[in-house]
Amino acid sequence: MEQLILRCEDTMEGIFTAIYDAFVYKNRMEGEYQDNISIAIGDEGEPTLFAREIEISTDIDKAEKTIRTIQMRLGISVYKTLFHALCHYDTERASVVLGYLVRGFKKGRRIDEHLSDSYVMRVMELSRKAGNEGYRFKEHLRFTDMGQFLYGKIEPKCNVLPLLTEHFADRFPNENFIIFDEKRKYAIVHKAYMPCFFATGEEFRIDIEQSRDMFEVLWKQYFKTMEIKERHNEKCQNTLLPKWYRKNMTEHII
Amino acid sequence: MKESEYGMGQVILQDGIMEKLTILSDSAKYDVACTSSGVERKGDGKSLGNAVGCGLCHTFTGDGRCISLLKILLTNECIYNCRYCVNRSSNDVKRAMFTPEEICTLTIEFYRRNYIEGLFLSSGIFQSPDTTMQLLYETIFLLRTKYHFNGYIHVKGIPGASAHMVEMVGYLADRMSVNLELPTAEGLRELAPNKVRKNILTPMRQIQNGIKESRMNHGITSMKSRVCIDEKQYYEQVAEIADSHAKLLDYKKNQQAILAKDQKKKAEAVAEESWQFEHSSQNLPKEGSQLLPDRLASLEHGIVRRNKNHYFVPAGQSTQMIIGATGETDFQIMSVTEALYQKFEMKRVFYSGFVNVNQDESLPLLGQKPPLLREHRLYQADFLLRFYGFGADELLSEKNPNFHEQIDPKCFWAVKHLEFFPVEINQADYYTLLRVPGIGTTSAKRIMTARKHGMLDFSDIKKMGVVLKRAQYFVTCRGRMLYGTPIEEQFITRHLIYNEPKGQLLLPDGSQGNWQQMSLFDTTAPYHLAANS
Repeated sequence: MEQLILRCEDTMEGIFTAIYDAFVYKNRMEGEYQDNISIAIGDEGEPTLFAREIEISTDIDKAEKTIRTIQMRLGISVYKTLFHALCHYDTERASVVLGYLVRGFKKGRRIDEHLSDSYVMRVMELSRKAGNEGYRFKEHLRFTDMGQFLYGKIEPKCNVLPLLTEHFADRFPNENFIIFDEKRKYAIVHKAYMPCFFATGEEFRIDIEQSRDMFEVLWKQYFKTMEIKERHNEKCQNTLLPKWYRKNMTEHII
Repeated sequence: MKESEYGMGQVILQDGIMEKLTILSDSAKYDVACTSSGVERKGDGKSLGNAVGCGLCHTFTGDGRCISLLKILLTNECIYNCRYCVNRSSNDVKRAMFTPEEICTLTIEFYRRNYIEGLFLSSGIFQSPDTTMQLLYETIFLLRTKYHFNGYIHVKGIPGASAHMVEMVGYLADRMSVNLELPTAEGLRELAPNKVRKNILTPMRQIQNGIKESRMNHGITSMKSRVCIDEKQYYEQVAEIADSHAKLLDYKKNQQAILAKDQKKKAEAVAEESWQFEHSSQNLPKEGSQLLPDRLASLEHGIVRRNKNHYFVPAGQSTQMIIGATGETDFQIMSVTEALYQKFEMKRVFYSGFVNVNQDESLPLLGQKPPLLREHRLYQADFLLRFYGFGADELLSEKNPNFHEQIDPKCFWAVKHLEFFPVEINQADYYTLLRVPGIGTTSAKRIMTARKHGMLDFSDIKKMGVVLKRAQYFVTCRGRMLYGTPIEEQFITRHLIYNEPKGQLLLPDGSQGNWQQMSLFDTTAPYHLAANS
């Protein structure tokens, strides 16, 4: 059977459009479907000789239809799992989610229980990893008080900004804040008492000179004092707080 | 730096704040608990803060302990002289005291920058337990009402404080803890002569009853589950407390006006005689402090348990004890722990490996490393009690009172009870699965759901998070073991120890273990373990 590669834009809408089209192509195929459609995102993935590649142009309507169908037929929690999985950086994430959906629409709502199926297991793993990283950034994100607003910069491996929005908007309703993803060059912007929105562009990148105010100095001092010297255990610290998280953390910047 | 950049903090924080923070965090750090879990509370859409059910650890210090809350003492002045404590009255250390406003400002400003999850407020005993508790109350009252802080607050219950004060704090805090300090009352008498067993257990019981009642009123039957707070109701509670506080101030003002007119001295004398107001409320720091409701007035007007729907210590109660300062066995400690979970319905019991901070020669471990491995084993066993359905009696006994140094409590139990094994993955019930070393709550739940849809094999359960390194000796899939290993105590013990990665094998003296290469043909010789020296 023919191998198909659908190439789509690197946005959630792009991926959900590709999933919509993948089902269209799948339904046209004859015989039993054997996971021979895959989705490549942006420029990711290697070109192959033996597959037909199709460009997918993003269509908001199709994306919304897909999302609605998933939510209606498989439930919100499955949709959340899939969304988290799509936030992961794995290049095969869209293909894996497609495989999951093919099985899901066949087996119904309780698809997430079929952990011995490799697609279901992979989706769960991706979703768990992205979810965990999002959770870690809720903890390790640091804001700097810029006077008018709070500014936080992160360099996550997964695309965690969508996972952070709700938490920080709920926590700081009365603050203006910007969280900037330095890898993907986009930001969440929150104005006090208003809903959040996403914004793309380098202009949200701000280099922060160190120690803007006394609370940063106090915090660093606090962090230093809290260690019990007799119990010093760097290995334990490194396990619990891997070094790559520390890049933008106030207390770890000397 | 420009003044305006400091904002509100500038006004309140004086020059000495750095030194104060250093002193008061340095003396608070020996407290173990720093969890921010147990309560899920969404923000109110207006003011700062929410609470996340599973808690967030914002950073980890060089000793690998997490910083989740701003853990500070209100003051490190203390009238008690507990021998293990760095703040004991006979120690010549620098003393300092925060004003409530300073604590509020620090909390709010740290919280805004996402450094912390909330406040963990404790204190040395300043003048009297009740005075101290009043100061703690005043601080969190300010934080909740004036600063509208909706994050997590953990307050230490001061042994010996009046029930009334404990109760008032309980309606504003998320979690309270009263330290058990030492695993036995005997140890307590010896090392902390000023603290009395009764004074510790009374507030503990009171908090427990309060939590139970409040949970019952919200239709929560379990003492273990997280509480999800309907934010509106919670806000009404805080508003009501603030309101009744204001009424109280009015009432007191009127009273004072009346008293000023006539027979002031007489009334004062009568009041003093019957309630001893002066005794409990004098000598409060004047600066930035508000009048506190005194006992009589607040009973008439107030705050206490008027509204049954109020949340009382929603995140539950915890406690901690020091390990290794007195001569208890692990069995004694685990029995006490179990009793605390069962009789006092604690959310957590924490263990603090004793550090001889005072260089006290009458106490053990002078100039030595704290008993980290022992602490680790106790925490492992603690989880077995809370989530795995084990009892203290199963893990240890009078004859066998301490945990194994080289293998964890669960493996230790398993090799001693081989009659339960092997366990068939596709059939065993949840608690039987949980008893297998290498299977935790998550993987057991995954196995339970996945096997509804088909038989599982070793490759499947490995993907689900089962640690086959340990589990392989105890389980079968479809009736087969992974390698057909014998179910024999010596064999399994030896393999379990051998499988530990080199660096992770800690010995009790803090050094790391090393082992001799095992011969392929060697199946019966006892396992050798030598310490690096």
